[in-house]
Amino acid sequence: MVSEAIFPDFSFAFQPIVNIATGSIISFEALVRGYRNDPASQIFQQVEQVNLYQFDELLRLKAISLAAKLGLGCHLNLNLFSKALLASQTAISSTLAMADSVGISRESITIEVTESEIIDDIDEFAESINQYRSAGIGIAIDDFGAGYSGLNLLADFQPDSIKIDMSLIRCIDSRGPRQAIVRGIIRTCRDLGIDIIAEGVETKKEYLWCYEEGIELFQGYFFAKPAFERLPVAFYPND
Amino acid sequence: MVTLIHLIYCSAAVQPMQESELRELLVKARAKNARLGITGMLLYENGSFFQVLEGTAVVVDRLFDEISQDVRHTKVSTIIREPIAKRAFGEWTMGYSSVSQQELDELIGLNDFFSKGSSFTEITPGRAKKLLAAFREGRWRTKVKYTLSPDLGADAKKLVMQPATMMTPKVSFSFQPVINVANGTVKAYEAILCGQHNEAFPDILPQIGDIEWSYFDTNCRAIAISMAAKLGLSCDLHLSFIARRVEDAQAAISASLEAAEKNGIEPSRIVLQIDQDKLIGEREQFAKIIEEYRGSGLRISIDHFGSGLASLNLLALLRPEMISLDAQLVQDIDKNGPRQAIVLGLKQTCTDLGIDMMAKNIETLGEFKWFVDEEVELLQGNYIASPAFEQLPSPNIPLA
Repeated sequence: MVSEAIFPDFSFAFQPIVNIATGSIISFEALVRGYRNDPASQIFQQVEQVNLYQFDELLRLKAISLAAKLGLGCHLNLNLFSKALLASQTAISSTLAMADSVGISRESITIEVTESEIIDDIDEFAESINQYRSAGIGIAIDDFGAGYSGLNLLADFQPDSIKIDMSLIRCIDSRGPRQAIVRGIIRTCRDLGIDIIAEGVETKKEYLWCYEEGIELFQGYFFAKPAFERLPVAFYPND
Repeated sequence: MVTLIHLIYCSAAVQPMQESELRELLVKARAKNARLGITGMLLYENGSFFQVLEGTAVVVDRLFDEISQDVRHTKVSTIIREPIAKRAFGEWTMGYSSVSQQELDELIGLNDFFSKGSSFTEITPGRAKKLLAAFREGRWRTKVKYTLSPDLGADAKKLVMQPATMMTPKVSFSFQPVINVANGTVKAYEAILCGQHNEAFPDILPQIGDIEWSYFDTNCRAIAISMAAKLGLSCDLHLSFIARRVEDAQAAISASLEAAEKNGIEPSRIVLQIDQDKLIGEREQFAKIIEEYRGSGLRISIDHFGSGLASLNLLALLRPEMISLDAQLVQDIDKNGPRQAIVLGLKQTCTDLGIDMMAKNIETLGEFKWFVDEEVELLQGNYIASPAFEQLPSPNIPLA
C-alpha cells in the first residue's frame, strides 16, 4: 500500500465532458489541485521524482473516493503516467480495488494517457494497458495531435477515445491547417470506431466548427470550468 | 533575401454588398495596393469573399492585419500563407470577379464542394489551391478588369549559390519510376544511391564524419542530376536529401539547384525527399530554411511519413508539396483495417492542405489495387517497376 506521509496535501477539481447530442454530462475528469485549490504544477513540484509513480497511483485512489462521495452518476476520467504502469505492480490492482470498495463500477472509469508518453515504448505500453481493459476500464489518449506522433500511433494501439489537444482546437475556426489536421483525425477515428473529444474549447466559434464537423463530445471552459471538490453543471449551447 | 508570399483568406460579408459598394472598395484597395506593391485578386459570391494577396511577407502580413480588423466582414479565415516563386497575378493590383454559382460549379475539383451549397468561408487549403490554379489558367481572367501594377523588379529573387568543395564519391544510381495512375503517365523517377557496380547503399557507405557527409550527400545529388539528364529524363526527379546537420541544409539545397540548372533541368522538376527522422536539429529552424528556398520552385517531400516522428503537425509546419507513406503503412494495407483508416485520415488532411500523397514500396497487386481504389494517384514500388541500374526503366504494368 502507498504511504501518504511523504506527499503534499492535495485534492481535486472536476471538469465535465459533455455530449452535445444528448445534452448530458458523460464523465468528469479529476484534475489534481492543492488542498486550497492550488494549481497542479505546484503540487507536482513538491513530489520527488523517485516517488512520482507512487504519487500518481495515490492520486487515482483519492480521486475515485472523492468522486464517489460527491455522488458521481456518470463516468470518471483519471490521468495516468504510463511509466507508472511499468514501475508499479499495484498501479492497476489498487485502482480497481478502490473503485470496487466505493461502489463505482469499473466500466465507468476511463484512464487518460498522454500521446508523448506512449510512443516511447508502444508494445510494452499496449501490453500493460490491456490489463486495465480486460478489467473493463476505458482508455483515452490525452493531448492527441500535440506530440511527435499522430495517426500512426493508432496502427498499433486503438484506444476507446482520443482527446484532441487544445493547441489544435485553439482558434480552429480561423486556421486552415488546424482544420485540415483535425479533419484527418476525425476521418481515421471514425473508421476505427474511436470516440473523439475536443478538449480545451473556450469559444463559441471553436465549438461550432467542431460541432459542424460532427464532433459531439466536448470539454473546456466554454461548457464548464473545473470546480474544486464539486461536480459542476455544464452549459449546453444548443439549448 | 526578400521573401515573396501569397496569403489567401476567405470571409463572409456582414451584409450583402451592392455593386457600387464593391466598386468603391476596389478603387481604394487598388490605389493602396499599387503603393504597397501588392497584387492579387478578389472573388465575391453571394456574401462570401475569397481573396489572394501577393507581395513581400512583411507588407502582406501588415495589410492582412488591417483587413482582418475591417468590420464589413466576419469569419476571416487564413487558408494559405506561404512563399511563392513568382506572382500569379503580377499584372493586377487587385483583380475582381463576381462569380456566379454556375461558374463555381464548373470548376474541376470544386464541383462537389460548391454544389453542396458550401461557401468560400468553408473552403480548405487544398480547394483554395485548385481555385487559384483555375485562375492562373485564365478561366476567369478575361472577366476581370485590372489596372497595371508597379514595377516588381525589385523583389525578383536571385539565389546565391554556394560552391561546395567537391570530392568525387565512387557511387552511381538506380532509377525507379513513380507513376500517376490517374492519367497513366510516369510522373517521376527516384534516383536511388548505389555503388559503381550496383552494390546496395549500406555496403558502400564508408565511415563518413558529419562535415564530410554534407559534401558527400551534396555531390551524390549532383551526380544523380547529371546522370538523369544524360539518360534523357523528361519528367520529375526525386532525390533523397539526408542532412545530418540543419546548418548544412542551405548549402545542400543551393548546390542541387545549381546542378539542376547546369544540366538543363528546371528547379520545379526536382523533388527533395527529406527523411525527417534522420534530421538532427530543430524542426523550426529547418522549416525556415526550406521556406527560403521554396521561392526557387523546388519541391519538398517528406519521406517515410507515418513512422516515428513524422506527425500531422509537421505537415502544417513544413508545408511539403508531397509526402510518401512509410513502408510499414503500405505493407499489406489491403488486409489491415487500422492502416487503411490511418492512410484515409492522412489523405483527408493532405487533400485539405493541397499536399500530394504518394505510396512507395508497393510490392503486391493487392496493395496496388487498394491505393488505386482509394484514389491515391502517385505510386511507386517493385510491383510497378524495380529500380534499374543507370537506366530509366518503364513500368511493368500497362498504364491506363
